[in-house]
Amino acid sequence: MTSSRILSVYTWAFLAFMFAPLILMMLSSVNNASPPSVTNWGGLTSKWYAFFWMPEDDLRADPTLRLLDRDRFVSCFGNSLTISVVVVPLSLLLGLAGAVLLTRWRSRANGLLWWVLLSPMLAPGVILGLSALVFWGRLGVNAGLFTIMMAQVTFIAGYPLLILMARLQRQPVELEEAALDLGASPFRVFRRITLPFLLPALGSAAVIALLASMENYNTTMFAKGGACTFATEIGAMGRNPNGHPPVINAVGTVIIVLTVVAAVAHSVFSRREAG
Amino acid sequence: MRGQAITLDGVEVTYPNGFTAVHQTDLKVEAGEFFSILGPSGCGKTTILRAVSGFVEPSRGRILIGDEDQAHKGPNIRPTALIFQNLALFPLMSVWENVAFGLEARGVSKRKRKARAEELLDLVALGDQADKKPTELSGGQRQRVAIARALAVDPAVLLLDEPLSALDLKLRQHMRAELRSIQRKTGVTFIYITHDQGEALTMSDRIAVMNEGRIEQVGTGDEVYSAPKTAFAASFVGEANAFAGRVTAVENDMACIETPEGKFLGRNSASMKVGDAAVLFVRPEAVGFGTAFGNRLSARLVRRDLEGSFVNLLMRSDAGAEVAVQMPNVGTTPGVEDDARPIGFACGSAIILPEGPLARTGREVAAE
Amino acid sequence: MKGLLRGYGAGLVSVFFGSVLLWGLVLIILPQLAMLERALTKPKRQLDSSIAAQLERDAANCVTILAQYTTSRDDAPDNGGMAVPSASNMAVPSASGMAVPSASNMGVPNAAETRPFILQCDRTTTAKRMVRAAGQEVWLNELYNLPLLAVEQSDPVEAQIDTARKIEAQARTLYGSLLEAEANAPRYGAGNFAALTQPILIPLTDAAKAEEAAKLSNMLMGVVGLRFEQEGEVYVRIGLLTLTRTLLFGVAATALALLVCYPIAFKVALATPPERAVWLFLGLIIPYAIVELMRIYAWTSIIDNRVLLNEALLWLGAISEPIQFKRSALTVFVVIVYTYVLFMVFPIYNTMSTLDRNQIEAARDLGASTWRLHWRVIIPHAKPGIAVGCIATFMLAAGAFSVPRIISRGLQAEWFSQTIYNKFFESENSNIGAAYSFAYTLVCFLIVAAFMWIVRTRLKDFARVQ
Ligand SMILES: Nc1ncnc2c1ncn2[C@@H]1O[C@H](COP(=O)(O)OP(=O)(O)OP(=O)(O)O)[C@@H](O)[C@H]1O
Ligand SMILES: [Mg+2]
Repeated sequence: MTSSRILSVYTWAFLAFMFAPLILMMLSSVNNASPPSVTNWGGLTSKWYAFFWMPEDDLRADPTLRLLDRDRFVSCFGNSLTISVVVVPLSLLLGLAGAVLLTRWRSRANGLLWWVLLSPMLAPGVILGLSALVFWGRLGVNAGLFTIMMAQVTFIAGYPLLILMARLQRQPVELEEAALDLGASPFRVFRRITLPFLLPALGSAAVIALLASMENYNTTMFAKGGACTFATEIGAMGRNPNGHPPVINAVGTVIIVLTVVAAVAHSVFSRREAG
Repeated sequence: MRGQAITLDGVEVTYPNGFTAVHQTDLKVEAGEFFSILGPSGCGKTTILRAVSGFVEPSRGRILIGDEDQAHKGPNIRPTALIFQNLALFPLMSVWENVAFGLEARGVSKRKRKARAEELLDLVALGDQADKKPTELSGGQRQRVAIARALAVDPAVLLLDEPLSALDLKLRQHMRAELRSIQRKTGVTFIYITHDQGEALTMSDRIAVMNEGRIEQVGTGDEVYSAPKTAFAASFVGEANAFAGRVTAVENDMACIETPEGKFLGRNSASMKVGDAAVLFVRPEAVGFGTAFGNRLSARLVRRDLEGSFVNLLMRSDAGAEVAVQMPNVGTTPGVEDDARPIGFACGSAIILPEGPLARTGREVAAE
Repeated sequence: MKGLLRGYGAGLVSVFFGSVLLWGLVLIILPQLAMLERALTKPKRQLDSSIAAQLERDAANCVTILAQYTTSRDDAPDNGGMAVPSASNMAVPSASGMAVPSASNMGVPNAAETRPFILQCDRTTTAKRMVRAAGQEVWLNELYNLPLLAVEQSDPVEAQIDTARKIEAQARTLYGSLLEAEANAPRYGAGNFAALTQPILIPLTDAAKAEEAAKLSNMLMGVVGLRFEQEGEVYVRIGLLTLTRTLLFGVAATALALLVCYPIAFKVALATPPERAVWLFLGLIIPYAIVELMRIYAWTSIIDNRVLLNEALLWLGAISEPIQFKRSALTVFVVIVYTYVLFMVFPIYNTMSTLDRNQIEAARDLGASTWRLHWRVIIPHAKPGIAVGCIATFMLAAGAFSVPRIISRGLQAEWFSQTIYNKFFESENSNIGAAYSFAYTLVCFLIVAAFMWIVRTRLKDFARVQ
């Protein structure tokens, strides 16, 4: 069975390729050297993490950290949260409406609807941001958090759409018909039968929409005007031609650790559920 | 609510894609009746049920429940309850919540709902399963939950779409009796759909035989079995040997038909005239060995299938037609290697009907 | 429609339709139309009337200043009288192609000195260059049949004033008629799209030219007309070139990702016992779930000037000084593949894992070779997933903005989305940016539609694969 051996080796090599940069990133986040490096070892430090809570005076004393604007970073992160508070529920609503119409509405417009609703997922992200900027600008809305929200919803609503549609297709129509036949009003059928059935899918769609909104860079960059978000701020920090501050690596490490914990917990949990 | 009568008045159902699944149908089901619709797959049985419960609007004609025209009434307003082919139990609700759902929709308090649900679950002998989820029940139990759920809304009409098709034979026989007794106890009108003729014959007050969107015959089990009105009804309900030919003589209520197997006499209940293309049907159990019959032919045994108390014999006549014979399993029956021997059937047990489409045999279905 | 109403009721159905209308119309279709309108709108400053208006203003100012100059000269001959143009006049943007006063005139006393240099007067000439596409020379007087008039510094001042007045009058009438004509002229035109194909001149020494011309990539560009030589100068259609390169890189990244991912998806979906595949799957989902920007940043600690890769190469003695990896398009390409490769894995994995493993065993049992097994059983089954993965990866790779921006730190505008960004935000003419962006959308959609048609997938596969 050599071919299967080769396949295994190849798979491990691929995983190594996927993880190596991440591990290097984590290593350099505890290295007292800026720009971040793993070869130029300057000693162990936690200051790239402490940046977020260290006293103002210590901050001033550090040659790298004093160039950074902590308050701005925090307020940009706050903007991201504000945006996702609007984007996630709105995306769920639009995705749900689209999913219901696409699965349950038998009509000739169905094919067209497919193309229209899925087209943002097929378009380069930058274009969505730009067109939101131009369109709302024409209506007199200045670029800012609002245009970011609109631009993000345009394509993020596609995730709930696909997830809910897959789920709806697995629900037999007879279930809704049976409830209707037993005398329930259409609204009650939706609330008691369809929604509970969709609930797990809605949950995972919400998580995915939240992540997509937080991490989005391409679309946001074009729609943001003078505003900033977590992702654009991180992106902006990297524009220094001499290398970015290792604070980014610290943030990245935290994200990696959170992701790993969440993913492991999820798979352990769902395995226990299944078994 | 006591059962109510259902009237289909010239109902025709055409689907949006232009396919007409039910043609011009008049039908009256009496209040409190156990009425079956029997027909092959795809003939439009489910469509009729869906029209009665309000999921499809007839493109022509009226549907009345009691004396009330049901046009433009949604399924949630009609006094019907439909038991779906796949049952459609709500997977996320417990058994008793399933049963009580109709009451919940009517705003009945939880305490009353639960009491009523338990009552109905007792009726279908599931009193101890109330808190399980439908997925934790067996097929037959699920079946009974669906029945209890439908009965909970106190319907005037219960519509059942092949509810027993997924069950094994023993359970099916048991459920037949159970359904029948529930129907007697509640007095609700049942419209029962099946393509199993045994089921229809054992349970129903009356049966409608349906083919390709048309009702061919309505009558009691006896009428449909012994006095079919069309070639399709004769061939679909029960086994029948068919001999096609032409009417050569008519006398009183008998007729003579000339077939490649010879001339046969049979009942002329369809008032055929001389020269008409016709088919003579005779049930396998009416065919016997010997020469003491009005209609005679000679055939050799091809196959012998033991069925328990019966044996089914497949014979081939001298002219090449297959003749099915069924006889009680008493004494000896001829072996395959034997020579041709005389067989025959009484004139009164044969019926002559106009030529028309026949039900497809198993071999034809398989060939598709 | 009836079924929908019966099933969900008028209230819910109107909420659904309202939401979908909002999404489809307000968020998707109308913004694209606004974009198209913007792209088709001719930019303001290119209009001929604004040049006529500028000429009129210059002439009027010239007259005033000259008049002042005569009086002041008469009153106090050595006042100097260097008329300073008022700031408001200076603020008028001059189109890049506008005739620039020759530097030699600047303040240098002329032989027959009648007055000092006056900018406005110098600009008062009917021989005005119009704003046209690069390489085109159009002059106001020739275009509109005006006499060639100019305020000559050597003329007597009165004659100068006279000429300036004439020019002013002519410019005023011309401005009036042009304004009317332009008001009636269509506001829209495809000119902004034409900017995409505009060639720009690449200044090269002869030696460099020969060297460049010998490069295969440049020869290929010549064949498709992206690069050409005219009168000994090299021109490159830079917009189109960037677009082509971006699309080619996108296709290459997609192909590479497919090659890399197919075995991985196969391994995880079908070639590992399910209980162990869970962990492999976890190994794929973790990098997939990590914020995209962080996956990009992770690479900077490999390819930056004085970090891992360079240090390693220096230590090995392979190079003598750090390579500027981040400037290379190839690096950007590698990071794009790294960042988006998993978007190929999951769709393929999802379709493959729905294949009944018994089918594989049955095929093996019937004596199929590995190759035949994949070709006849697994690939046909996974086709929708492969198609969706290809489309997703292509769109991400071709539309990449974050990767080139962070990796190359804005040192090079290699990717087309960056070109759009620059055109839109960093140049005065955002209409061209809009045209670029719209053209880009169109091209991407055509490519995706063609791909879907070729491999016979339908949009509905997207729902099944996710
Ligand atoms: N929504 C629909 N649109 C178009 N045609 C349909 C639709 N539903 C059913 N049909 C067609 O109408 C005919 C009758 O269907 P129906 O479901 O009533 O058959 P049936 O008698 O219940 O069959 P079975 O015994 O298999 O359940 C079939 O030919 C079917 O293809
Ligand atoms: Mg049916």
